Amino acid sequence: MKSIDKKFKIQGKRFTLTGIFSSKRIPALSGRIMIDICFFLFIFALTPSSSSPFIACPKSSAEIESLFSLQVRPAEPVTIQTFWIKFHERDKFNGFFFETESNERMEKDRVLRSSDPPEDWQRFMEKVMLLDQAKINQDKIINDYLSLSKFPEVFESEVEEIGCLYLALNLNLKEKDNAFESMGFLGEDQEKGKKEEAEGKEEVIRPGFRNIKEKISIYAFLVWLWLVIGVLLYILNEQIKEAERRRRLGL
Amino acid sequence: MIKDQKDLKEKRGKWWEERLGWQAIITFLRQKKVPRSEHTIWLYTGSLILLFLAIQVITGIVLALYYKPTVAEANESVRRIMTEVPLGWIIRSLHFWSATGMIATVFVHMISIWLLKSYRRPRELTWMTGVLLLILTLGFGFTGYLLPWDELSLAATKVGTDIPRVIPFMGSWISKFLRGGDDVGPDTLTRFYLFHICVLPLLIFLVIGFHIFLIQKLGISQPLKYELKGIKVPEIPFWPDFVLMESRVWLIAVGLLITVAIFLPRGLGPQADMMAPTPTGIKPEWYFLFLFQTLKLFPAQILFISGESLAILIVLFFLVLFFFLPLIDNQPGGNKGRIITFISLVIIIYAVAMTIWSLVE
Repeated sequence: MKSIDKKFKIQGKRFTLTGIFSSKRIPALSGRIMIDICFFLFIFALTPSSSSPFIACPKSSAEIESLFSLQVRPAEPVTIQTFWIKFHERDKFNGFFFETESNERMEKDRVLRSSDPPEDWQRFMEKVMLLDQAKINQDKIINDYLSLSKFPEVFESEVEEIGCLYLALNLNLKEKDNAFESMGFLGEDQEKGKKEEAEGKEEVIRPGFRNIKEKISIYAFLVWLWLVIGVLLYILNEQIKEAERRRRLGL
Repeated sequence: MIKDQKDLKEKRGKWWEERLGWQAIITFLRQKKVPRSEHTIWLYTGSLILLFLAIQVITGIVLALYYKPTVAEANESVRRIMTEVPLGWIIRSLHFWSATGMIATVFVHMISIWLLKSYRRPRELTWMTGVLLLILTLGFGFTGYLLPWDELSLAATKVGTDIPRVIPFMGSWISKFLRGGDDVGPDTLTRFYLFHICVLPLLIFLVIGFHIFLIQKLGISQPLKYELKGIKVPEIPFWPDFVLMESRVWLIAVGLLITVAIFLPRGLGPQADMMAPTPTGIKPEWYFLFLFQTLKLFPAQILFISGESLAILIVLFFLVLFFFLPLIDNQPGGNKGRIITFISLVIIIYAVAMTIWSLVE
């Protein structure tokens, strides 16, 4: 087992990202790639102010190699995080989700959006999302679900009371291929959140005078400084001349 | 009354003399001679480096009062220094610009000694300690760059700490040692802070002490062209003549430094995000630009080795040659010496050209 512990800040909130995954199945380089992918997904999908679910799924050119889970512990409770699992094909698990305390709300959102009867994968997802962590750790649900039997031991970490679980995929990415495409459901709040995030990224402190008093004081200091330097340079020049005169006289 | 005052002054002078023996130091400085020629101007750079170092020590101590070397607080504490601490932004700016001034002066000092061949016998060790001081100074710049923990500093440190990996056998270990792990993270920040305020200062003061001792012992060299002609250039006493002349340079340097620090203050980028991709268009500080541009020129793969690795190995090879230059250039006045001067000039022009190219790109 290999663990990571990363701290980062999103929309002004600090998070600790603790990932646990099997090092036997995931080589170090792949692990790093996965963390990058997961973080991209995380940044893109985390919308604390939105109640709209967001679906992201890999393009068909991205092949899934394995799964791993990351435990996310926000420094403070995140209000609502609603995420979706997308099965690209029935035999593949092409999505990610956050297991949060707001699962019920997510289910409600999904029901409101879709009037069609849920498919197998949707039922599976509901089960998973509504499970508590202890049950998930038993691996039963995933292994019992026939089409997912090739992905055992998905969940390896325990979620804290205020935490959520992040399930991500190890993808075999083809060069220059954007592995993810948005499937919509990106609410206005999410757009706003992204803009705020972008603005936050560009925030650069440009130091300068804090007030007019400080500005005048510093300008006055600069004038005084250069005057003093001028006077001292004059005195030094005189002293140098005197020293040269004394040296020539052999004193 | 006046006589009493004179007696008191003499008494105090004797008290200090008895304990410190400073008259011996004054006598030594009066007897110490400095050659006066058209090259005397380069001699000022040595003391100018010490002046910038002293300013860095003072401003560094002030900054350390408020700086917190943790990933969560580093950027925030620098932000606080710049926005809340009275005149904190000027102190930080002074620290940055004195560092820049110090590195620039170290380069000028080294180049002047390099081209004037002042490293020639018996001053080989003086040169070698000088090269060590150059490396330590760059080390200060490199470790200090990470401390604000903003996006650029993190990206630059990732690249910088990755470079040692190409060194055969122990490269990976060096990289891991610098980072405190496989990747740049909280441990890297702690280590860099420790290097910046403790390890490097100790080393630099030790090496400076030895460097100055060698200068005092061996004296300042005569310009080569006069030495070859058998002409002895006139000399002036170090104290007070040369010190007075140097003082003018110090005064102007301090004035310029404060003015630049006020009008061109150092900014602070957004807090570093360890999981974020490297920002586009990043460049290292100006003193690493020639290396950065050189790495860009190399193709991705050259035969069985990656272009980047080859470039870094070549630079390391030149650094080793640079260190042992006095032993290689053992006939400064002969043909070998002239060839080395020509190569030196080519290297300097190349480094300057690469730096300018990278700046304008």
